[in-house]
Amino acid sequence: MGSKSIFDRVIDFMAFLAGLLLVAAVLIECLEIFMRYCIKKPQIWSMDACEYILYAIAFLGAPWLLKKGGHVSVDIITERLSSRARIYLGCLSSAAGVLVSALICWFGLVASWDCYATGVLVTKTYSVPKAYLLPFISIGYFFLLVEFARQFFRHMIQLKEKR
Amino acid sequence: MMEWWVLLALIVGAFLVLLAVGLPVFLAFVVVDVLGIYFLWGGSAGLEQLIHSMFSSISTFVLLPVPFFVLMGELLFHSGVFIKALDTMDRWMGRVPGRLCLLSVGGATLFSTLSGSSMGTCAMLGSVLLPEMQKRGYHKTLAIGSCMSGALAMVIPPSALAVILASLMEISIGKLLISGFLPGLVMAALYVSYILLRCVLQPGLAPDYSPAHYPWSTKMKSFAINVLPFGLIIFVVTGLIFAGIATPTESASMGIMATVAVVAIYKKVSLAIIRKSVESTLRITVMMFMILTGSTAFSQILAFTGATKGLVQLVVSFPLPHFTYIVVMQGLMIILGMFMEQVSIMMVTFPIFMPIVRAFGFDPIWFGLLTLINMEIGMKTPPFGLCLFVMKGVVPEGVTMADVFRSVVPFVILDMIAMLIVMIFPSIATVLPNLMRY
Repeated sequence: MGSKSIFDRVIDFMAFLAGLLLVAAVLIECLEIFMRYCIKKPQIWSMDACEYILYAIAFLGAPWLLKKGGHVSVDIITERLSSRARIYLGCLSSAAGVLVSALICWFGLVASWDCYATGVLVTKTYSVPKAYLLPFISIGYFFLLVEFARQFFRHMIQLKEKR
Repeated sequence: MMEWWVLLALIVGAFLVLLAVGLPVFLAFVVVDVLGIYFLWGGSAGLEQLIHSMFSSISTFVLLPVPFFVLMGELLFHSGVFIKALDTMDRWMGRVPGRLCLLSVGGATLFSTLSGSSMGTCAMLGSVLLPEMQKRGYHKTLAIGSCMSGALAMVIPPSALAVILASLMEISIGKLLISGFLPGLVMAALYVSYILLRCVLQPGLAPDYSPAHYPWSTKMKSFAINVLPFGLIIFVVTGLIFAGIATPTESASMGIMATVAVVAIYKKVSLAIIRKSVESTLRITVMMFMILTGSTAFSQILAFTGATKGLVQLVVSFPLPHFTYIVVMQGLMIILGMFMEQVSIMMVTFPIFMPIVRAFGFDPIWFGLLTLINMEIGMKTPPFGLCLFVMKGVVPEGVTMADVFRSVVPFVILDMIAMLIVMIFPSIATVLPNLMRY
């Protein structure tokens, strides 16, 4: 596999963005401490910004972590099974991933649209339209769907090879 | 609607089955959420609520120290600056039985005051000290077991898990963090006593050797250069929280600044190290946060069905001594710790445990601290302990997973003894938080 697929590139870029946001959160907080204690001018936006960053990091990084196999799962039962049974369970698990990711992705869009249509605001220090924030869930879950689908097809190929 | 216990059995049963077939933990939560919400909260309107629950579960300021505490440890690990501190501790230690194992416990305790992640601490100790122990002919199980004391990072402040637990219990994050300090030292002391005792009784486990002798001036100089700078990090994190000067988030950000400063003193700051550290931090943070996004709705469903209330009322109605409940709750978490990951254990049990703790008037800080020790045990109990896998990844060739499993047994027993000590003498956990002003 010489070249990366477009999905790989996007998933890796999202994780890169999550990393940048993490560094940004550190810098924002350090700036806030400086402004609050040294210049006595606390920046009230910093808290909101960091909260949204925490939220964005999880959904931007989730597909990448799935690709890396970094989401914890319990394998004490599956590892005792035959390799064929393991592949079947893998198919089942990734199929469940595809279905649930599709649902969350879709309902994320529906919830975002409803928030947009009714003008729902997230009221913290500043009010931000929730419709701008919720789509991160749909984006994250869309690429989780892609990754689960790829896992599913890999399991199917393994199954064919076993026959 | 069905009886609460039927619903409870269905919801928890479905979750456990999904875990058993190998679904990633966060996905197992979301599947149960989707099914539970669809059937209990009225179809698709409920699923929109799930999206809002996911959003609010992690967009909260109190969780900010989680990635920060992890990042501190990762920066120190990837830059390799802590290895010099270990080297200095080695010089200070005379000819004692099992000295490399003791060095490992000492290193774990010091590193735990700088890092919030157990896995990073275990990985560092295992990769640095195990090859040396193997070369000196140390018995592998004692060697690996002593490196597993890296799990102490979960109890000794700063601890990423303590932040999540305190926010879940709605108690002071600063106080829970500080409460881990003395119990962490008690645990380290138990490890040291055990290693000394084993090595005195069975000297073959850790062949004695004469370490190079260093004059006092060299030792002092080495201490000042290689260990003292870490005091800055301990001061800005634990010191400022304890003094009530900084909030956990502020001290976590200053902790990162101090860490970068210390790494810079040793001229080890580079883009590659920052990139690696951020990547490792991202792995741990995303893993924990995705579980939080799924499990928050899970607890809400449990509460909605009346299962939480029903179970709590049932438990409280038993005429048992109150202390028994503490033992039962902690015992249950130890069992769950063998099979599940820490954040999910807390998210599944605490909606039920917390009302019980409140109903009986137990000190929540004390209960929280007992839980932290419990979670630390869960990190290293087979078959599913995250630190076990981390350790397996860094052990020298020829060491099997079974060796790693065997090595933790005595240390898990010591942890349980530590839990008993803190249960019987709660002031070990509460004395420091009670001294805090906020």
